[in-house]
Amino acid sequence: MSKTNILEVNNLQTHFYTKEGIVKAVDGVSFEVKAGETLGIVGESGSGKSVTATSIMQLLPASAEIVAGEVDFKGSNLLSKSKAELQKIRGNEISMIFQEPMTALNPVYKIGNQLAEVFQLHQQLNKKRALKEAKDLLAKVGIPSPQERLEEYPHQLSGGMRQRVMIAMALAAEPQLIIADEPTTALDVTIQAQILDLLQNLQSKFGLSLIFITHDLGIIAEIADRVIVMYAGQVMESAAVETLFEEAKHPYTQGLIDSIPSLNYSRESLVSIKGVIPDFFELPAGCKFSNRCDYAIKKCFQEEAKLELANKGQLLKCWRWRELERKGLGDGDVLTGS
Amino acid sequence: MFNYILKRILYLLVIMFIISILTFSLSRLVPGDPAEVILRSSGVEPTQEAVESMRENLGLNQPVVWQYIDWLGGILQWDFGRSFTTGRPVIQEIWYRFPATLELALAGVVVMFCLSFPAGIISAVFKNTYLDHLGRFLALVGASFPSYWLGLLLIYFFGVQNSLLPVMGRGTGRHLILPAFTLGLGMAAVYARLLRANLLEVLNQDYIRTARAKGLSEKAVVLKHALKNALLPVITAFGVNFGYLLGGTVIIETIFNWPGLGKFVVEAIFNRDYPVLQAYVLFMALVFVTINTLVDIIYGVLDPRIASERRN
Repeated sequence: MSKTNILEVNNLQTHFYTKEGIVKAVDGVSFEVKAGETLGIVGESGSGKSVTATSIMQLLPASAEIVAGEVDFKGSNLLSKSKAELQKIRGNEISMIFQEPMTALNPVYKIGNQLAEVFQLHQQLNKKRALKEAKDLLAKVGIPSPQERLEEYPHQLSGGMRQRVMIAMALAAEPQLIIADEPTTALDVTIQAQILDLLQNLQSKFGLSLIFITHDLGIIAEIADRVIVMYAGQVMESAAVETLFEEAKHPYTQGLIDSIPSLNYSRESLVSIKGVIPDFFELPAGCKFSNRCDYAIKKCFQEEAKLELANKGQLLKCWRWRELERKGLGDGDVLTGS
Repeated sequence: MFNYILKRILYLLVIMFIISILTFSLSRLVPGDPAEVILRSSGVEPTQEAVESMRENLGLNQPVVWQYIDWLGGILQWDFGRSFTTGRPVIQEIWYRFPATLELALAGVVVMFCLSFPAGIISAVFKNTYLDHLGRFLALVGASFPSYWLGLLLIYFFGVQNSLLPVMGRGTGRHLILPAFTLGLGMAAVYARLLRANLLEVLNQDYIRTARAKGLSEKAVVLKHALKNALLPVITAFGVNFGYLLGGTVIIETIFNWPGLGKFVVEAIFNRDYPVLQAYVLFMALVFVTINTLVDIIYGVLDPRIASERRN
């Protein structure tokens, strides 16, 4: 394990057991997070990004199970830890920010109580000192009149304020890694920008690593150092953020980038990837993206490609990336199957 | 909060007034003449003359509306009339017997809480395990037991076969055990199921995942973050049921010869003892409405969202 990697995920597989059968929500995902960097995980709804995050924290619903893989955090595998050991890590060394600020806070306890809990738990502070720390932290995440907020209940706060409380909660124990699962999706655009700024500031201030999960490539461009693109529970492409936006090689990534609306285009030319992410029980046999891919050839439907290393540390799961790289993607010059 | 409580008390008075009219009319609609019943039970031949003079004695010869106004006027001066059968003031009769019923009901509630809370929580936390199935099976059995049958079984085992516990009357704490258990068990089964269902729903909420992500132990997650949220519907059900409980101890009071209100009222019904009936219904209505008001207030304490709705 490299010294600079704080987290290494190897061949993670998380399955859901449903009445219809087994859903491979995370299907052999590997990636690493370096100390102090921001890793963006991007993909459509149902691509397995959130399940990957909750698998790292082992906060999966009862119907899900991690069936294989390793999650090495600072050199030791989280998957082989006991419940008590995990509880010491959660909220303390790794913390999480969730998508739904409206429902992620307990409606029947005051903000101060819920925030102080983290200090009481991980730093063994008494209630009074914990509340004092909670107040300082609320000020740090930009909440006005923090003393009064401590005495308020979640329903008295706006969505943006609640997400700030969630961020404060995640920061409370000064963790080394924060996993943010679509933290801005439920918020207004102006509040989104504020929350992103806040996260970036706090990250550089505390030097923490961040896994940022989103379906919004615009946010990825702004916040991430490296990006992994997920589709149907698998990593399709992974690259440094500049490389990804300039030289995306996977047809899926290219499709995602082309789908970003631009002011230069007329309304008619709004581009989207054809079709929707298929039902997990109707995934194609070969490459999971083959049935939506403009460049799919016979081989794509039959056999799954392995992740291959291209230059600049870019990883690709596609049979045709070399060909497509030579000919260039998206010029209307659709290659015919060979 | 103060305004809210004041408003609730005003509502309470209006409701009590409406109930007083209903009670009064209903008791008059019961077939049978109390004067005749009293005469017969004291061994007097109910001749026309005797009945007439008894009716006059009881004030039943007045027009019904006058009787009502008279009765209501008395109530406003805390005079609920005298029992037709015993001749003592009704209020005394009720106060004399109510503590026994209340004691039984409260003891039943304690049994209910002691059984249903652990059972409901364990069932929810260990959902679909052996423990859960056992708990749910016992709850089903408990809820299906008719209380008179359970009471008789308990009397047989603990009183007749082993004489471990007294089975008749009221007195020491030991007298309370069997009737309280009989009363509490059926309720416990219902509440255990209710609590389990609520807890399971709450345990799926996002804020529970947040609590776990903080690194809280499963015990803290369930007992602090989930339980308080799961209690709200349980408290509501309990508020409604406690009134029924006070009125519904009749069977158990009869089986265990418990000198409570339930037994007394059943006798009053047979005797067409209007003042007792009316006072009892009014009294139970007051208990119901008061408990509902209390539950509303507790609700506001448990769930801050309700309290703030009230303020607005």
